[in-house]
Amino acid sequence: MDDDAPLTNPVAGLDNTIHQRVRLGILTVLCEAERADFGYLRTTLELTDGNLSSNLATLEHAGLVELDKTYEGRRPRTWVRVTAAGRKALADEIAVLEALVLRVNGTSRRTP
Amino acid sequence: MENPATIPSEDAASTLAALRSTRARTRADLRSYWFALVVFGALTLLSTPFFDLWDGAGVGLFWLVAAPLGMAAMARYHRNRDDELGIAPAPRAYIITAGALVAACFGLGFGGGFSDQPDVATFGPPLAIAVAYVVFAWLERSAVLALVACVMGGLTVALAAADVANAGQILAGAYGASFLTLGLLARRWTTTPR
Repeated sequence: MDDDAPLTNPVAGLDNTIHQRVRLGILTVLCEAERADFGYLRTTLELTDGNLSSNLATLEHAGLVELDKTYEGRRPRTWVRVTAAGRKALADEIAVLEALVLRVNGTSRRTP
Repeated sequence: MENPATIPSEDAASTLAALRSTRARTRADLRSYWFALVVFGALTLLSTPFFDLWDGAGVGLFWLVAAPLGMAAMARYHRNRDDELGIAPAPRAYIITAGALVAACFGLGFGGGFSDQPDVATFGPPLAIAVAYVVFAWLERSAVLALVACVMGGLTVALAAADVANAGQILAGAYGASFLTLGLLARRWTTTPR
């Protein structure tokens, strides 16, 4: 590792709101699409209804996703889309995780 | 919630790997270019007899009718697929690329014809299609679509340089057959609604 590198630990940049696999997964799916519905997220991320609901509520409360509850005929359907803040939060989180892995890998390469 | 300060590096690496896998699966689910290839490949094949009509203007008139029909079919297909699958791609980049493609094709085709520049009218639209399909390939993350579009672009340039008779019809046949074939193959790789 470069001795002149800043001492800031990448861990300090992790976001408590989204630093959780389910929430990161939700944002990852939504960042690839314009919108996804509750059923798609539940199936793709292999979650229960309750788990997905509570994580979506957290992300919505933080302004990272928007929920649009509609009806198709008599069947309710919830569409979810990521906000600009959500896109930025995911990009920042991935950058921090990559920096963390790089930093630790660099350290472990120096350690016999 | 777990404390980020305690996240071990293996956890960070495995989280990144899981996110890459999720992203790849989502992109695979969103990939549905086969329909556009089949529709426009078939229409391109159907357009070949129209090159002989009205001193070459027939093919332009064919596309004036066929292009809106093809786009309407695509819009309907995507609306139904998005609803059934539960995920919809961001359409803006596709709409901008398709709009630019239509403008380039009609502009070069009719513009070249009216200004008595037959090479522009003959080779401009297929070259614009090849470029647009490279952009679509990038949007869809499809190497095979990019390869086919590059081969078609290369064929267009080669025919333009060789000054071959009936080049427009040859190109329409080649573009139509290759896009239709790739579209039918790609349909097998496309996610169907669960």
